[in-house]
Amino acid sequence: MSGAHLLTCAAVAPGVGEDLSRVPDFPPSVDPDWFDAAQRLPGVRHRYLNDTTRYALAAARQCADVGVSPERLALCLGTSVGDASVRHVFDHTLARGGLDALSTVSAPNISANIAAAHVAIDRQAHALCSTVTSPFLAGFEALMLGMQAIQTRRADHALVIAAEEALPEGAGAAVLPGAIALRLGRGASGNGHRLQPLGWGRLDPHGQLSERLIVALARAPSAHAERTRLVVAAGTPVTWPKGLPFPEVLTCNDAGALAPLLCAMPTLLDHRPFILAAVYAHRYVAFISDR
Amino acid sequence: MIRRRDVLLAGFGACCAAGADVDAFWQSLFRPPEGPDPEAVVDWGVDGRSWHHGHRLADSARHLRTDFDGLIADVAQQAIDDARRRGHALDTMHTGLVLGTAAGNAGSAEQRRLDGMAAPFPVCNPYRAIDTLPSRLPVQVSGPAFVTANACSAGLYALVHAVDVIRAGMADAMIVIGADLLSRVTQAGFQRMTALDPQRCRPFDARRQGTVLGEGAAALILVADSGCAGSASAACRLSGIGMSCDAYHPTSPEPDGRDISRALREALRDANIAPDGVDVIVPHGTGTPANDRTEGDVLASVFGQSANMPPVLSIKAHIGHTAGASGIFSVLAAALALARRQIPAGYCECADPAIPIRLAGRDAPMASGRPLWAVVSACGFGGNNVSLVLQGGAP
Repeated sequence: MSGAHLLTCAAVAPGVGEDLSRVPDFPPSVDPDWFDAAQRLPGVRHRYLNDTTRYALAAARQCADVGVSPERLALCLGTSVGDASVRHVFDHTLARGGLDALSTVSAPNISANIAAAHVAIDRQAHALCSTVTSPFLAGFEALMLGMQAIQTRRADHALVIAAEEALPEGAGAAVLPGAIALRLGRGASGNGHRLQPLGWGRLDPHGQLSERLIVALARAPSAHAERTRLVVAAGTPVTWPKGLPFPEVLTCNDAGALAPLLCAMPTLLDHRPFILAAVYAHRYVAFISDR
Repeated sequence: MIRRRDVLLAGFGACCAAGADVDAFWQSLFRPPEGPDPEAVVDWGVDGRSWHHGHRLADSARHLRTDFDGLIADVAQQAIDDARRRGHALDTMHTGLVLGTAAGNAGSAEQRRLDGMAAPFPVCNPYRAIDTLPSRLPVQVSGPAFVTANACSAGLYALVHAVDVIRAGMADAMIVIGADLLSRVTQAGFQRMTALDPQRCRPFDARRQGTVLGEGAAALILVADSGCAGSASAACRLSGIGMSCDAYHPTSPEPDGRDISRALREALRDANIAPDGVDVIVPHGTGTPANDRTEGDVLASVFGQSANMPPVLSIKAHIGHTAGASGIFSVLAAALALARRQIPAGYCECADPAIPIRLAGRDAPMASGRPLWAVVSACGFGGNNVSLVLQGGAP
């Protein structure tokens, strides 16, 4: 499978600035007013949008457009919270006030793909529009699907987004709110490098890497293998095979899809050769750079 | 140039209002549909304004109505068994898993809230089944495993992504599941959007007022053709794919159907088949006034006016709109029609004369002596459109 070029990227998240080349210090608590929708989304009727949509729109707008016809632009969005927060709020609204208490204009927000729908409209992505909601890895999977959209020639560019909104109070898990947008293209632009899939699958039941991934890692050039980064969810056991260069491990204690992808950005933006893998539960995705 | 891997549909599983297996679903399409259960959706009972009707899982599968994980495990098991009977042993293949769903296991948190219990996200994440399902299956899932949540086209998006995974060499087989259960939040949201018909699901009917939700799950086994053992067989071949996004409105279709048409034409081009070579069409057909009208116009623009059009088999009157599962049920109906060389009548009591399509209308045998072709479409919220072309085996 040939890859795609990473052209541009932009993020909107608390504690995250324009420089994505280092792993951010995620704030221990998030100021509820950290995002000013009026300032970030001029011209958008944002009042009835859910937060994931607001953040995704802002990040997508910040991620520079590179000329491509609307029919050739794909959109792939990953969110692990998906519609859970909206449904929680709506259900409490129904419990308190019945059907009429539910806003007709906000009702479409029950759909997990509502953020992708709004971004597709705003950015005019007509090739395809896909939302993935797998726990933790949804952002990486969106990246994989964006690369596939280009590989299969369904699109020439893909806008890949990981976006999350806060979980309701008492949800028992922390999620970094915000969004990151990455623009992938078939051709190179400036100094962007090419990214290829290295593996995608599940570990064996004991957390051992699959034979396929081990073979792929072993075949990688040593310059890449020596710069292997592993983004792993807290509490996920991964046994790294002997004989392969041990990776730099970035442990991410977050239930969303945004934080893990932000952790990976310094690697994705690194101009030196690298391998990037991410693991949650038994699922993994892995990429390799190719300049 | 490297030839792309052909992908076959090698096994099926189903559970819906019409029955708890594939055969029950298929047989139901030859009978007039039963209406929805008037008390299918449990709500808070606050104002008496909410509608409760919907198509619940058949009584024989009542134990799965509140067990999303059990439901998807059940249909996956059916499909794996079916594939094995056809000679495809998934336990010897590098197999992945993709779940297409609109709301996943949203009912788990809803039930807890109704019971006055907390609904912690780690336990009630509606999409966590992707991590718990593999251990319930009789085959090792070593390939990609992920969830697509593209509303009512989630199932077909899942299927296309699975095909791409196989063609990229990342798996030799994929288990594709589409599934959704009834949810009071979904029901209320649809009612507020005036997307529900208060009586029944009546796609392409002149009196239609909206859709009626149904619960169900369907599973397919996709295998790479090159991976087939000599004696293995398949129900049909996936020959063409077209995708597009309206990028027009969060919930309403673009009225001219420009992008729906683009997906349909792309699928036909990809399959290298002319419109007049298609034998049956299974449309999205939700019963929503605007959607049915737009879809009908698109079908007429691609296939010609109703007299020349292949028969259109609409299935949602029988099982309701099963949301993320609906596209997989449509594939199932098309694949079974090709395999059994028979088109069920479907059901439309009072066809809308303003929609220029040719509904199947009566049970009919399909042509013999040549391979058969079917088109399947799904159009979800967000303007997510997928069209597929399936090719049946040689007679």
